Amino acid sequence: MKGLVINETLKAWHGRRIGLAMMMMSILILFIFIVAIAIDQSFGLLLTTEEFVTIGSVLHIFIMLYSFVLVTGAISGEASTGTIKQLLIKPVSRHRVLLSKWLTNLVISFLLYCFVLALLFAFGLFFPHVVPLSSTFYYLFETALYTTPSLIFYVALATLIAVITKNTAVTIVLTILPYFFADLFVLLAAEYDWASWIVFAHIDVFNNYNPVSLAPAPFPSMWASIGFLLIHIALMLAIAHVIYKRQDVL
Amino acid sequence: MKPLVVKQLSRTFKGHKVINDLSFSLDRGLIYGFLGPNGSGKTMTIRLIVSLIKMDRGEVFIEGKDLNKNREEALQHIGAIVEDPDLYTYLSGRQNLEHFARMSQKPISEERIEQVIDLVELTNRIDDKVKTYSLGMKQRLGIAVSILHQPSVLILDEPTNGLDPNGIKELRYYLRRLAKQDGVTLLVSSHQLREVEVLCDRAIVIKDGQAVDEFDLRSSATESTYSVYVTASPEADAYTQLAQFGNVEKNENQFVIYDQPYEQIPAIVETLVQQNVRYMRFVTNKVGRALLLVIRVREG
Repeated sequence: MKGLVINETLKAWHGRRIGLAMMMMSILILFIFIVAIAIDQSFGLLLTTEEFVTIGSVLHIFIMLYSFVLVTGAISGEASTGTIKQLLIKPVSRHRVLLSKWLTNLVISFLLYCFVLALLFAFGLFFPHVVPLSSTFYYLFETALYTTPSLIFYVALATLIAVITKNTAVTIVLTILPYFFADLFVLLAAEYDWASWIVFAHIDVFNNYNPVSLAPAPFPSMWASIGFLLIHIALMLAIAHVIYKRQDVL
Repeated sequence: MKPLVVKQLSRTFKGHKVINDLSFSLDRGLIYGFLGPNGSGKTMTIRLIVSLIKMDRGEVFIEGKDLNKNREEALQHIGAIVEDPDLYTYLSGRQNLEHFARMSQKPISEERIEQVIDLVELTNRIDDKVKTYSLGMKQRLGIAVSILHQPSVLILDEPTNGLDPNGIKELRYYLRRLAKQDGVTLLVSSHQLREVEVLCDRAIVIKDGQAVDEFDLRSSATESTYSVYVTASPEADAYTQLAQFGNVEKNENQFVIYDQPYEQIPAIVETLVQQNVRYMRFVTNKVGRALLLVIRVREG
C-alpha cells in the first residue's frame, strides 16, 4: 500500500501540478493581503489578525475545487489516457488501487488546506491582534477540522462519479453542481419535515452547530450529523469500489 | 507446466458472442503470433487474459495460477502492452519504471531497473520526460515496464503499430533476445503478417472468437508460395501461356497468378521466352503460410 500511495503522490505532484496550485494559492493570499492593507490604510479600518484570517479562509472553496481535480485526474484521467490498463495489469487488487487513489488525494487536499491556513496565519501576523494569537491559531485548527467532513464527502462523491463516468470533465461538473447549488435545494426544502434527512443539509458542520449560527441544526447533535455523513461517505465509496472491481477496461 | 493455458474462454459483448469457447496454450520460450482478421477477437482475448475485462465463462492459468481464483498471483507472471504503450508522459522514463516497480509483489532492485534500461537501450534518455520520446522509444519503455518484474509470459498487442521500419527491426531484435536469453514466452498479436512470419516460432489463428488453427512457422517456412506479377506482350499469348500454371487474373495492365511454388518460377519464365512472349515486368512476391491461412480464414 505504501508503494501505491507514493505512486499517487508522485502522479499528483507532477501530473496535477500541486506545486503550481500551491503557488497560485500563495499569490491569492498575497493579493488578499495587499487589498486588506490598502483598504486598511485608505479607510482606517484597523483590521486585526483574526479578521484577516477569517476573510482569507474563504479560499477553502478553491481547495475544494482543486480536490475534485485531483481525484478525478487520478481516476477518470487515467482511464482517458489509457494508463489505467498498465496499472490494472499489475499484480495489485483493484480495491487497493482505488483506495490509494482517493485516500492519497484526500490527504493531499487536506494538507493543502492546512498550508493555506498556515500561510493566512503568517500573513495575518502583519496585522494587530486583539485576542491572543494562540486563540486565532486554535480557530484555524478548528476550521480545518470542521471542513474535514465536507472535504471527505465531496472527495467520496467525486470518486464515485469518476468511477462511473470515467470522464474528467463530466465528473468535475457533476461534483461542482451540488457543491454550489445543494444549499439552495436544502433551503427550498426547509419547510418540509424530511429536509433534515437530505445529506447536503449536514455538510456545513461548522455553521449548523455553531452556537452563534442563526440556521437551525438538522439533527439535535453534531455527532449525529457527522455519523449520518459518514454513512453516506461509506456507501458512496463502497459502491465505487464494487463498480471499480467489476468494471471492464475497454 | 505450460506458462499460459486458456480454456474454453467465452465473453459476450453487447449481445454478440465476441469470444466463443476459445482454448489454446503456449509452450515456454517460444514466440507466438496471434493472428486473425479485424474483429476476430484478438484484443478482447488479450484483455481477458490480463483481467482487464471479465470472462463470462472459462479459465485462464498463468504458471498454473487460476486467474479467477488467484488474480494477483497469476498476474505476477505476466507482462503486457495492450494496444499502445500507455505511460505517464509527464514523468521521466525512470520514474515510470520506479512507479511500476513499486507495484510488484516481489521487491525490484535498482540493479534490475538499470538492467531493463540497458536491455531496451534507453540509458541516455531514461531521465527525460516520456512526452519527449519517439513512438519507438515509448514502445521500448513499455516493454521495459512489462518485463520489469521478470514475467514468464509477455503479451504484446499490435506492438509494431506506428513504428517505422527501423523501429520494427529494433523491436524484433529485443523480443527475440527476451525469448532466447530470458526464456520468456511471447504472444504477439499483429495484423502485419509478414512481421509475424519473420518474428514468431508458432502461430495461433482465431476467427469469430474461436481458435481455428495453430501451426509451426519455422517448419512451414518452405511451404511458402509466391504470387507472380507479369506485364507482357502480346497479351493474348501471355495469358494463354500463364494459364498453364494456374488461374490468371488481369489486374490493370498486368497478369497475376497466385499460389506458385518456388520451384515453378523458372518454368514460368522459360515458357514465356520459348513462346516469344516479351515480358517487360516480372515480379514475384513471397506469401508465407501465415498470410495464406489468414487470407483463407478471412474468405471463410
